[in-house]
Amino acid sequence: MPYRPVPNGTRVRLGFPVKVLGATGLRSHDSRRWQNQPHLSVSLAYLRDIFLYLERREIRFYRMAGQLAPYLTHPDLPAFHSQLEECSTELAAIGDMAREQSVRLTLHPGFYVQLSHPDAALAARSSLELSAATSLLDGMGLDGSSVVVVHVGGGHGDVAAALERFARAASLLPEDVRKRLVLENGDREFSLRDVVWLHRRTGIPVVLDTLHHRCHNPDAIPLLDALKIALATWPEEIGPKIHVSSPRTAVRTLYRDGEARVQMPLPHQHSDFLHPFEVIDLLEAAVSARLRSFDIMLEAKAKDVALLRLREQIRRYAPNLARHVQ
Amino acid sequence: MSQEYTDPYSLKRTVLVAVVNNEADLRRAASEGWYRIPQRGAPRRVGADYLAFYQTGAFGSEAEARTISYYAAVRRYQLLSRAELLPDEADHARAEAYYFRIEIGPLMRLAQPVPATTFRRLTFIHTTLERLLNARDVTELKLEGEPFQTLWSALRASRLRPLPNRLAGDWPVDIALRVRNGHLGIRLDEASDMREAHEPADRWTILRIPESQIAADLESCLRAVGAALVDLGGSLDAKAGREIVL
Repeated sequence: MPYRPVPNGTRVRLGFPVKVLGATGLRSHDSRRWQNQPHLSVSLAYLRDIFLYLERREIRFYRMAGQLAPYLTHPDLPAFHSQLEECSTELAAIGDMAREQSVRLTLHPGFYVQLSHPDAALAARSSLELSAATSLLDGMGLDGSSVVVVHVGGGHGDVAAALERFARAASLLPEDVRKRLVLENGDREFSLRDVVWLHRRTGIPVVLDTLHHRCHNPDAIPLLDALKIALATWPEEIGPKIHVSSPRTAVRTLYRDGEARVQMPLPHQHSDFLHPFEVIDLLEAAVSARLRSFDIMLEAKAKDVALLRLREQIRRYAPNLARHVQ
Repeated sequence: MSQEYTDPYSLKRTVLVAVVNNEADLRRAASEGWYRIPQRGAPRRVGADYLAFYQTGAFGSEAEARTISYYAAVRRYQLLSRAELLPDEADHARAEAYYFRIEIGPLMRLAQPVPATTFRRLTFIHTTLERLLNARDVTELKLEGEPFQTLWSALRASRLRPLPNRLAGDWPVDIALRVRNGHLGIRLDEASDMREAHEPADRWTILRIPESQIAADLESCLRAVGAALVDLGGSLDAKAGREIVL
């Protein structure tokens, strides 16, 4: 049955990152090594196929692969540097498709993007990566809701100094790059308080990661309050987004050098699916508090399958929420 | 051939099997290194690491007819209008229509060409390199969980006896069911890349079912099949047991 949104009140869109597990053979990007000449245009063809899948599933929020344009900024592979220009038509077409389907697209570059890094060369390289990500989104003609999520980076023994470095590096970014940047709280360092401090210095909105907040909450901020704080950092015209995941609780068997080893779960590791009742509790609290609408990126290992399962569980266990959640 | 792909990850690479029904298209793929697919009506999946070519019966008595003999690595996709793609045909009625121009590397010949012994569908197939290199028949290429398999299994579960890949005159159909007054042919249409010029053969009735509908609402597809069976006098092959849902 098609989704019918509630006329008033908080609305939440669910999304998932990168890989599609609910359909065989759908690739997120061209992952061939440089010797095999991968190309952004091949990734965009894959993305077009994923969009058709998103439409069938009525999924309106998706995180694209960070390596959509392979080797785009690799310093030793200049042959890959002009892919954005080579694909201007295809980028515009895929952006049109996203708009027609009302799919919000975001990017989340890897942990190697660290604006706060004490090594100036590495920090500069991070700026380059962010510029490339911005150019990609601009090439698709996407509006300001298509954001680029980053972490502060490493503390390197002095969190306060790292925050200062981040604020300085962010202020030096070109305006178009900084406008797409959003900042996620960490699970060991850089708590919600830290990233809100950075927001006040730089204007960069905060993406609340609920699992990170559970793992690293030195100020004992209750989750709903944390959500309110994070949502308030977003400008009026751009829908906020948060990250939600559940901690892995199952043992895992690892095979190394032919030997099996049992690994205990760690709280910051993502589980395959979402804990439905925790998510429902959070959503009910947000709806009751009449918070502004926001989007949830579900960081579960089962990706789109976890999203579809969660939708079913919300319909079953909290039918009053069903029209608030797409 | 398989020695080139000792890396198991390479074997997981995706392959789009395209249908070639004229020599000019295959020659162009070999000499100019590209193949085209119309954007409107393109299959659900166009993205792939490799493109393989199923040569139809139009290749006549050649050994490659009704066989996949060649494949090539995909280099690049471009969206171009037909006029840009084929400037010599700028007056064509669909000159403004957009096409995927798929640039490919050199054509490679499969060590073990893949024939279509019973298969007559003129459709794209999405598969993996591993399957392409090891298949002995085109029917072995299809990935599990595809709409065809889903509908096929559901019809079997409804106590019917579907027949795969039949020809209804000049019409290839994906699934055929014997009915009192002839045959019901089922076409899964989103995968088709060709439009037939002829009416289906006598005593054949064609039912088109979009692949997306199978994924989204299998029950409605079964109801459509059931209604068509009733219209045609009922199935000849229905086994005793659960009736198809109407």
